[in-house]
Amino acid sequence: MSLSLPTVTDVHVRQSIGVRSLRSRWTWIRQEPSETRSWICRLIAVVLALVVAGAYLVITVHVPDVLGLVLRTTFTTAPGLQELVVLATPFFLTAMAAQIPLRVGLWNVGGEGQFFAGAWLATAFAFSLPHAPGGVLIIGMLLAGAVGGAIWVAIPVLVKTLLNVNEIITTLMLNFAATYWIAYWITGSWRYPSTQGGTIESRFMPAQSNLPLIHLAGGLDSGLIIAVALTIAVGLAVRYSIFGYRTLIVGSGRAVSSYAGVRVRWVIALSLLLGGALAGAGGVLQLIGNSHQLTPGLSDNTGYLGIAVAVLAGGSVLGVIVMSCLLAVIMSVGQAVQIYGVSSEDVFILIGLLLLLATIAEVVAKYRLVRKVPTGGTARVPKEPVGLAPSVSESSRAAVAGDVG
Amino acid sequence: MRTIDTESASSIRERAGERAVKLQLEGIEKSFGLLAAVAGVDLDCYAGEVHAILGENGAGKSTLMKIVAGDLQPDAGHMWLDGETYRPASPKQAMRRGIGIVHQDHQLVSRFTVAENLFLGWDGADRVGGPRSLAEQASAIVDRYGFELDPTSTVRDLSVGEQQRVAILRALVRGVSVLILDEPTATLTPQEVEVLFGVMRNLATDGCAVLFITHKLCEVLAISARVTVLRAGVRVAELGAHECDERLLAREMLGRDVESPSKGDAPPRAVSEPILQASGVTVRDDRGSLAVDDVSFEVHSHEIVGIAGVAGNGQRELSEAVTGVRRVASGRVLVDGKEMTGEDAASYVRAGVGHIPEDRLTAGMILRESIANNSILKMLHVETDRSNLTRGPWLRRREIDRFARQLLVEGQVSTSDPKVKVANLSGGNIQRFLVARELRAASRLLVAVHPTRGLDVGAADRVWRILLRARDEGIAVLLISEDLDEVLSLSNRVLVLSAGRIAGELDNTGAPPSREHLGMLMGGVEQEALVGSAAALKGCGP
Ligand SMILES: Nc1ncnc2c1ncn2[C@@H]1O[C@H](COP(=O)(O)OP(=O)(O)OP(=O)(O)O)[C@@H](O)[C@H]1O
Ligand SMILES: [Mg+2]
Repeated sequence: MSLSLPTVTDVHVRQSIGVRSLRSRWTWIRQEPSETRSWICRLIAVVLALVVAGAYLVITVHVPDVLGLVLRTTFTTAPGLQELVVLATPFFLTAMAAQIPLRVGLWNVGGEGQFFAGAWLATAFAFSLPHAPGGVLIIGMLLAGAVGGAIWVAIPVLVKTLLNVNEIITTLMLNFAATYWIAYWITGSWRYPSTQGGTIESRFMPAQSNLPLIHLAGGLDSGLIIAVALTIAVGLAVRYSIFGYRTLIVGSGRAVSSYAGVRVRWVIALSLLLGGALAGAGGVLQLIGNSHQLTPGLSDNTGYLGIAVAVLAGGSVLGVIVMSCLLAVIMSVGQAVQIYGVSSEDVFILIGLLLLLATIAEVVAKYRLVRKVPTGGTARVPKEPVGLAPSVSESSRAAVAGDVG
Repeated sequence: MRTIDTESASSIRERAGERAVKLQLEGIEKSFGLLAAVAGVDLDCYAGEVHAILGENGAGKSTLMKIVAGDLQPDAGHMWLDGETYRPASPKQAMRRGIGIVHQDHQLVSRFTVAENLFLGWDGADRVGGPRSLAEQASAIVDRYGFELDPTSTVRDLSVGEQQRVAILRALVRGVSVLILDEPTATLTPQEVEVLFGVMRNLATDGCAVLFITHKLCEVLAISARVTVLRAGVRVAELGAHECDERLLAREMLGRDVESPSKGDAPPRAVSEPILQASGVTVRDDRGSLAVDDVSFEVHSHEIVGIAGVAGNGQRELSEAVTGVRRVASGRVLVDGKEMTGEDAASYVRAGVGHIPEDRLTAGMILRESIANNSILKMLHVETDRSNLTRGPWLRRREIDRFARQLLVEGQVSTSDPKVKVANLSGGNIQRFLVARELRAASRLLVAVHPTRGLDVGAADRVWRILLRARDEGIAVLLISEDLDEVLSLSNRVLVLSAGRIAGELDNTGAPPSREHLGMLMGGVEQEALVGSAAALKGCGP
């Protein structure tokens, strides 16, 4: 009895809003957000960003065979792979440092400062126990780093929970404080004696604190394994713990929190402290896994890029791992093409482009382009109205009659 | 097809005045996954008529209306508007064709002011003058329709009823020719319902078609010309309102009869003990002004104490103060003789207090989370539940799923899958789930604010029986409701709240107190009108 009509058959189509489309015959329809679809869109964004970057390299800088270069410099050679790992490792923990507070709706943009604070306290620990055995030193430094990162975020936590001061500003400002704090020590008592006027760096860490290389693919950094293990462990813990559940309640707003009797301040404090601790541990991994000296360039913006990774990853731990690796690839290729005269700023432009496209993808994933059905105009003659006569089911009609009679 | 009763058909045609069909739906279908929410519905709505849509919770009413308003795309079917093919790809297109909708969950921007919400996404307003001009235009509209609202206040600070008024005005200012109202009266006071009915009648007189969803059968009979009844996504009847009564409507809707529960006699006072004691309680609202002013009362075991009063007289703040959601400014609250003043909601849960909040969508539930995650919102505070649902600092997901499934069964919710997001439940099913959860928590005291809001007659009836059974089992119940009939037919005692103070306490065990007397206590002439209109709509309660 129903007339056939071209219909949108996607059962997930839920809500739609009009977006003025380029061609008026097409229209965007909002659809049920889905994890897979949003991941596909993000992936497309990544590919698109890489294509743009590749085109840029081929056209303006005349890099021949970009793809070959990328493969050569990253995936196929042992040094390339090793470099990739070195670059990816610090992202994991700084991304988690931003992601956990995001669950309660807070922006920890102080990963950079917490990273340095962790490295600083670990250095202090190492220099005060220079002859401790390697295992003690490594574990002690990691713990000291976590404590240092947490201490660095403690001030934002205090003013946030007691005075409700915006955490974005306080955590950001403390990044600059951390830089100067480090500079003070490595130009002072920790200064590497032979540096004369050149780059400033601290003395080397005790040799036994250096993370062992694992003989896999020509020497994998064990820092990566620690970072991935920590990331997964913390991710799972947040997902399956009472604390993680409480962050979810607090992230859903004040009304639910006070209805559910959750102590908002505690949850806020704990999530920021946990974030700070992770960033601090990230600093230590970089210190004992890679540079072995405390330097101003220790972080190389990982604290900030971690925020980008967290945003790209959404709420997922797997996302953090995938996006960290992707960012590492971009950085690594970026370093490789510098021999062709591409500046490091260009690499950051590419990362910016990637972020922009990923953010757009996030929105696009919620829509779907469909063919518009012409509205207006008497396309079909309406048939004789149905149901003008009331139709009552027999049983109830009888009941009514019974009532009357 | 169906048998056609020529007599009624002609009378309908007569009342419709041979008016044109405004909106025609045919074979509309919409599925969510495997669930057919709307399974082939035909509907005709005439210009100038108020057409009621009735159906159980989850029958597909809201889904059907969202399709008409362009929020959802149908899987199959055809629509005509004024005889022309109508297929909105977006709410905006629907709006341009003159379709206005007031959603069941208001969908306002909570951080915007009333005025900003009224004019959001609408080109008809003059924006050049800035916020002040917007507020002036808004207050002109508010006055024109006779609702009470402050255009400059932020929506987040408004009560649910006030938000409802904003949502209605939002649809009205856009100049509609088809107005869809999805359970607008659930959160309105009887006075406001009268105002709304006036607006609806005026619109109909002007040739507008009004589609009206409600669970209050008396309202259907009072305002609508025709009624379409949906059951499980299928139209089971289309009736002329003049030939219906409530029993018939309920039977068409549920397929069975509903009988009102009787309050029964409360056990003698001697066996009861005070469970909730409030003395000199003073509470401030979100804006810092005095909402509850020096209120003292007790709720004993084996009794239901009703709080009557016009909405906005401190009911919400009082309910939040005796459940730990809101701090008391002064005074004391005791539960089971234990000092609870200044404690948070967690302590109240531990003391065995359940709380059905006024604000079920923003406070009582996390809509974007699963049923499982919502089922344990407060349970982790109770030692016995906690030991069952958690191990050390870890959640036991399997146990939580089992617990959630139990709640779904107890609340007779339409789904049995704890992984479903709460946002995907129908409004009434969310309320069923919430009531089941809070009954679990309420081992000593249940604070129930509008416990039957949004429930169909069958489910409401069930909740009333559950409240009475809880009372008989010795649980103290504090019932806060704007529905005078609900309060009077369930409570042993009625407290009247007016301007944040208890204006009077009435015994309700024998003959019910006179409505005139109640009206006087609620405060002045205006409320006389309220009670009058409540009486006019009599029969809405149990
Ligand atoms: N977005 C969605 N995803 C999945 N299921 C949905 C969605 N929206 C609605 N449903 C399901 O469709 C059915 C009909 O829902 P609808 O909201 O139309 O009911 P209703 O008649 O308005 O009920 P109520 O009286 O409780 O408001 C319900 O079972 C509901 O769970
Ligand atoms: Mg509904």
